[in-house]
Amino acid sequence: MIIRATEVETVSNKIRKFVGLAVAGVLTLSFLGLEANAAEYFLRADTTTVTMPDGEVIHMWGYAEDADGDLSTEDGVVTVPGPELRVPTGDSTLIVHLKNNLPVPSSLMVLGQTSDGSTPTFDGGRVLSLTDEAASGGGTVTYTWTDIRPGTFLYASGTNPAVQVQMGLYGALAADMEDGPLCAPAPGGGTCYPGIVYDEDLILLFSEIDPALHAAVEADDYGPGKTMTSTIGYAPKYFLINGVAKTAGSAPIEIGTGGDRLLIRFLNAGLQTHMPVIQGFYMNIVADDGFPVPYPPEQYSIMLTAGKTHDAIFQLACSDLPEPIKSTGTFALYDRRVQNLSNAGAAGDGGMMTAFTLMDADGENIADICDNCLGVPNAAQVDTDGDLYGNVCDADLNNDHYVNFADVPVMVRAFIWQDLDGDLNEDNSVNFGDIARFLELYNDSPGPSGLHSQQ
Amino acid sequence: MKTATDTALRHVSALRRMGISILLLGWIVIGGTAQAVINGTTGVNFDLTAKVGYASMGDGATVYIWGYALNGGAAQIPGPTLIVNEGDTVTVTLNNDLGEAASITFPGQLDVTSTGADSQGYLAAEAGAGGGQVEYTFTAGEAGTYQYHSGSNVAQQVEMGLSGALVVRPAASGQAYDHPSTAFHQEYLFFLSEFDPHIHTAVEAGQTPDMTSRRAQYWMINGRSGPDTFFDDGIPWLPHQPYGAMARTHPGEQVLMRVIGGGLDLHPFHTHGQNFRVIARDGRMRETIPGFSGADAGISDFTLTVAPGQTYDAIWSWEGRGIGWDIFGHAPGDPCDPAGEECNPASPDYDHGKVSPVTMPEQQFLTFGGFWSGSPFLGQEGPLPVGEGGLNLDGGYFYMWHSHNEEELCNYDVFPGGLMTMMIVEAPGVPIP
Amino acid sequence: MKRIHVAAIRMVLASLSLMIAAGAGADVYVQCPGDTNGDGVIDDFSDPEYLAHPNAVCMSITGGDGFINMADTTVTGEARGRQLYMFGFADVTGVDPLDVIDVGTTAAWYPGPVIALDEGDEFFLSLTNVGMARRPDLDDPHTVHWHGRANATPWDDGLPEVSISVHMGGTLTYYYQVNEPGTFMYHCHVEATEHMQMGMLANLYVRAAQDNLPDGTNLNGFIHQTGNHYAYNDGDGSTYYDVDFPLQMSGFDPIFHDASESTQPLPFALMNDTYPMLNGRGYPETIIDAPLANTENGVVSQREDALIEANVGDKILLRISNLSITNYYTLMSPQIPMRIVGTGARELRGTGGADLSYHTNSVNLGGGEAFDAILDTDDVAPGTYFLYTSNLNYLSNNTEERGGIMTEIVINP
Repeated sequence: MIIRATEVETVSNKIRKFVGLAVAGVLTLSFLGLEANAAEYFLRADTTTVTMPDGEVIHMWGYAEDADGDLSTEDGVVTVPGPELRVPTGDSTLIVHLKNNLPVPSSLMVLGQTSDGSTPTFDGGRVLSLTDEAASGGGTVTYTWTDIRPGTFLYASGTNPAVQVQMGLYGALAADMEDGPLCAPAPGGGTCYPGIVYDEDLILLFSEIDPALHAAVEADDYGPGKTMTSTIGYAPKYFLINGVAKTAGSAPIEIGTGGDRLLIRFLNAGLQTHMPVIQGFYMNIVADDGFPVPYPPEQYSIMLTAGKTHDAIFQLACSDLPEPIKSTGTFALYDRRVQNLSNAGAAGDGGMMTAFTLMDADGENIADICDNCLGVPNAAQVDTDGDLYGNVCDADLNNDHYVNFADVPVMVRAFIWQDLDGDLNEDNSVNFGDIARFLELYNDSPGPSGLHSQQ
Repeated sequence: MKTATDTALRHVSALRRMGISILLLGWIVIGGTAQAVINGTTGVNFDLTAKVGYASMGDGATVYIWGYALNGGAAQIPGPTLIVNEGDTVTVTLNNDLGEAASITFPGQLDVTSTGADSQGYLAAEAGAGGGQVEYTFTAGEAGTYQYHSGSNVAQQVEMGLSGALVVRPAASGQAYDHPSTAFHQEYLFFLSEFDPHIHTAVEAGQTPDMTSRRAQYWMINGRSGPDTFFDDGIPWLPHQPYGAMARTHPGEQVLMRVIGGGLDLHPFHTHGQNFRVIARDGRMRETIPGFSGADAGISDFTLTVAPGQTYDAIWSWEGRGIGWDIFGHAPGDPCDPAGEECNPASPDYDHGKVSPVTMPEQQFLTFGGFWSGSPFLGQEGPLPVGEGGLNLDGGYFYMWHSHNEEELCNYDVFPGGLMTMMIVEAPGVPIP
Repeated sequence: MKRIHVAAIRMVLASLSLMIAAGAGADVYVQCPGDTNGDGVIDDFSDPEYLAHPNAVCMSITGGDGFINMADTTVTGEARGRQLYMFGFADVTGVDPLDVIDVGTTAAWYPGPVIALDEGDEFFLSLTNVGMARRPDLDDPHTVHWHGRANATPWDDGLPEVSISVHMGGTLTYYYQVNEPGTFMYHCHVEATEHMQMGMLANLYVRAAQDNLPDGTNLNGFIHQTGNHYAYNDGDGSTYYDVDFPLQMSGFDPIFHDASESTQPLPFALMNDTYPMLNGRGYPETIIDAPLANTENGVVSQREDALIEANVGDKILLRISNLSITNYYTLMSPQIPMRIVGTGARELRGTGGADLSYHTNSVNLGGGEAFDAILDTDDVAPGTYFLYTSNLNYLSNNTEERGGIMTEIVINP
C-alpha cells in the first residue's frame, strides 16, 4: 500500500524529467515532517534501450517505478539511472518491492546498508546474489531496511554485479536525517548530517557504458560457453552524468540562485575513478558514503572512486562571482580525467561534462544572486543609496525598511531637487514616471534583492 | 638466443648508460645546480604562447607536444611555473600559435576575468587559432600550490601537454601557507603527468584521436621521464623540458613537496626513506579549525595518491634516528653531532657509537647500485670494485621517489625509466645551493 | 680412448658440482644472534650476541622462482586453474643452511611469507638468493624492500640502484629496529616492474607496544586488559581489535608470466593484469581455509587465504595493502561499514592529536598504499557478508566470471 500518494506522484514527475537524452538536471526538494514512518517503493527490473549522442542504441537493464503500487500492471518507464528513492526526514524505514522481468535472477541492494534478514545465494561454490533474489521472468521479492541510516547511497543489483550493474541496474537513494538537537532544518530544506543543514539538494550520478557487454547480452552471447565469458576486458566508451553524455546542445543544470546552501550528492555507479571539478569555485566536502567527514575540507575537486558517494555543500555569495559568471550565470562541472570527456572518440566535447546555471528570473543577464532587484529588469543595477536594493525596487527612501508615508516627503524633495535616489526607473532623472513607480511600490518593503538573499 | 652475458648486460647496462651519460657530458648530478627553491618565473605579468614542440622521453623517443611557452620561447612541458604572491593582481596573456582555439583555466583561482577573447571555450575564454590572443586577470587568492591547464578541446589539449604549475607565496617567506606549521627548508615541485604516444602521433598527422582508448606509455615528473628526471634544470638537450626532479636535503630539515596531478591518470607517489605529512590539498590547508589552527589535520603516509586536477602540499623530513646503529660510523668516544644524531643517551633514539649487529656479505655476492657510495655511513665513501658505483660523490643517502604502479617505471617497453626521481639526504655540512 | 676421455670429463664435472654444492652451502650465511647452526632460529639464549640483542627476532627467507595456479577452474575443467610461472619469496626459517638452496629452488610462495612483528623487536631478516632454476640464463640479484619503513637507510632499504643486492647463492641479512606499529608490506625492488609482476611481494605488519601494557592500565578512560590488541598506540583504546587479517591486493598478467617462462622478451608496454587477487588468490579460492599446492611440482605455493571470520560483537582489523603494479583497486564492504583508523602505517591523528579516523564503505588503494580498517560487528546479524572490489570488472579470473578480488566475511553467532 502506498503511504503518500502525492509524494509518489511528485517523484514520478521527477522521473519523467530524468528520462530523455538531453535534459536539464532537476532540483529536488527534501520533504519535512510528514506523518508516516516508512518510505515504500515498487520497482520493476526490466530491459530498455538508451541512445547515445552518436546514435548508437544500447540495450540496457534498468529500473522502473511502478507508481500505482501494483507490480502486475507494469506501469512506469524503465530508466538508467533508476528512479530516485527518498526517505524523508522522520522516516526510519525503507521498503522496496522488486519485480524482476529480466531473463536471469536479480536483486537489489543499497551499498552501505544491509536489508533485514538479507540472505545471499550461491551457485557452484561462488556467490551469485549478495542479497535476497527475485527469480527471473517476473519473480518478486521485498526488502526492508529498518532504522535506515541517513545519507546518500547507491542502490544497485546485488546479483552477478559485474554484469548486472554494468548493464544499468543502479540509482540514487537519499535519506534525510531525523530532527535532533544538532540538526536544524532550514526553511523548505533538510538536514543530512549532524550540524550540516541545506536548502536544496542535487544528485549527480556518474556512470559509464561499454557497448561490448550490452551487445553480447542482447545477443544472448555473454556467459559460460559464449563468446564473452567475463567482464575483464571492460573498456567504456560513453561517460554520463545523470544518464546524459554531453553534446553541444546539452542544457545546463539549474541550481537556483546559488545563494542557497546546496547539498550536492555525488555518486559513482561506474567502475572507474572520476574526478569531478567545479570550475572557479570551492565546495565543502561533508560526507563519505553517507558518513560525516571529520574536519570537512574545502576542495575544488572530488575523488569519486567506483561505488563511492560524497556529499558537498556548495554555496555562493555575489562577491564570489567573477564578472563573466555574474552575467552568464554559468560555470562548468567536468571530470578532470579528461579522457572521459568524449563520446566514443567523436570529435568535440562529450562525456562527463555539464554546467551549472544560476537563476536569472528577470532575464537581464545578471545572476539573481547579484541582482539588486529580482524579478524586475534593471540592467544598470543603479543603487544610488548603496543599500544593495536597486533603485528600481527601492522606494524606501528613508531606509527604514518600509515604503510608507514617511517616504513621501523624501520622494517629493527628490523630485524637486533631482536627487537620484528618487530615480526609480533608471532614466537618470526624477520625474512623473518615478512618481508612478513610487505609487506602485507603496506599502511594500524594498527589494527583493539577490544581494540580501542570504541569512 | 639470449645468453647469460646478454642478460647480465641488460640488467647493468641501463644504469651504466645513465652513469656514462651523466659523467661524460659533465653534468654531474651532485654539486650541480639542484635548487632548494622552486624553479619558475616570478612576477605579475606573464606572456605565454600555446605552440607545438617535441619532448624527449627516456628511451630516446621523441613525442610531438603542444605546450605553453614563456615569452615566445620554446613550448615546454609542463608549462612555465608561475610564481606570484598572495594578493597580487596577476595578468596572463595567452598567444595562440596552434591550429585551433586555445585557452587557460586556473582551478582554485576565484575571480578570473578575461579581455580580448576571440571565442568562448568550455572552461575559459579563448585565443583564436593561428595568432589569436586573450588576456586573463585574477587576484592570486590564498597562498598554495595550484595548476593551470587548457580550457579548450580539453581532453585532447591536456593530453598534448597544455598544463603547468602556479605557486602562490604567502606574505611570510619560507612557508607554504599563512601559518608557521607550513615552514620548510627546501621546496620541490613534482608535476606528475603521462603521454599516450599514439594520441600524439594522431594529432601530429592531423587526425582526431579517440581519447576513450587512451593508454599511457610514458610517465613523467616535471615533464621528464626517468632517468632524465635526475638531470639539472635547463639542460640544453631537453629544450622543451626545462625542469629536473632531483631533490636534496639534510637530516632533520623540512622538505616541502608541491605535488600536482597534471595528467589524466592517478599515480601512487611513494617516498622511500620516511613518511611525509600532507598539509594541504587543492590549495587549502588541512585544518581542524579553518583559518586558525594551521595545517594540523593532514595525514601522514608513505604513498600519496596523486589524482588528476588535484594539488597536494606535504612536508617530508628524515631524522635518521632510532636505527640501532650510528649512521656516521662513530666510535663511542667520538664527538656526537647534534645536527645529525640523537646525543641524549637516555633517549630510545640514541645510536651514537653503536655498530650494526649484521655485516655485509663479501663483495663477490653483491651487485652494487650506481648511487651506492661504497659505505653504509652518511657522508662517507667506501671501496668498490672497479667500474661500480661512481654516481654518489658526497656519500649521501639516496631514496627513490617514484610511482608505485611499477608499470609506470618504464619508458614504453623499456625498463627502467618513467615516473621516478631521487631524494638525496646529504650529510650535515654538504652545501645545497 | 674416447671412452676414457668421456669418463674423465664426467668425473671432473661431478667433482666440480660437488665443490659447487659445498660452496653453495657455505655461501648461505644467515646472521641471527644466538643461532648456532645458521638456520635462522635462536637456540642459544646465553650467547653474548643474543644477550646484547634480547629482543632479537630472526627469519630466513629465499628469493627465487616457482609455480602457482590461478582460480579459473571452470576454464581448465580441473581442480586448479591456469598454471603460471612466477618469482617469489619462501620461508626457510629452521632449514639447515646446507639445504636452503635445495629446499628453496623453484619453491617460491605467493604472496611471500607473512612477516608479523612486535614493536620493540630487533628483526634479523636473512634473504638467500636461490636463483631461478627454470631460467638458468637469468642471474638476477634480489633484495627485500620494507615498504614504508621509517628512517630507512640505503643499506636496509632494499633499493638496488642506491644500495646492494644479493647474488645467486649468497645471503644478505637485513637488520631492522622495529619502532613503528602498523601495516606495511615488503617486496623485491630489483627490476621492480618485472620482479613484482612475477610475484615477489608479501604482507608485513607490526603489532603495537600498547598490547603489552600492564593489566588494568587506564588509557584515558579505556581500561586495558591483558590480551587486548590495538592497531596503534592510540592512548585511548580507539584502535582496539579482536581479530586481524592482512589483506594484500595484487594481480598477474598471464601473458607476461608465460613470456618469462619461455624466455621471450617481456611485454612491459602491453602489461595487463587479468588475474586480480587477494592474498595471492582469486575468488572463490580466497575463501578456502587451506594451503594450495601448484600442479607443476607440488610445492605448496599459496599459503594464505583471505577468508575473514569473526564472532558477533568482534572488532575486525583489516590490514589492507595493494602491491599491484598496474592498477588501483577500490575495496568495498557494502554491508558492514569500515572505520579507517590508520593509513601509511600511522594512526589517523592530526599533529595536535585530532581524531582523523572516518567511516566509509570503500577504500581506494594504489600500489604501495596501506590502510587499517576496523569493522564493528556489534549490530551485525550472524551470516555471510562480502568484501570485494567495486571495480566490478576485476571480479574475474581472467576469462572466468564471478572471481577475482572478492572474499567473504563470516560472522558467527
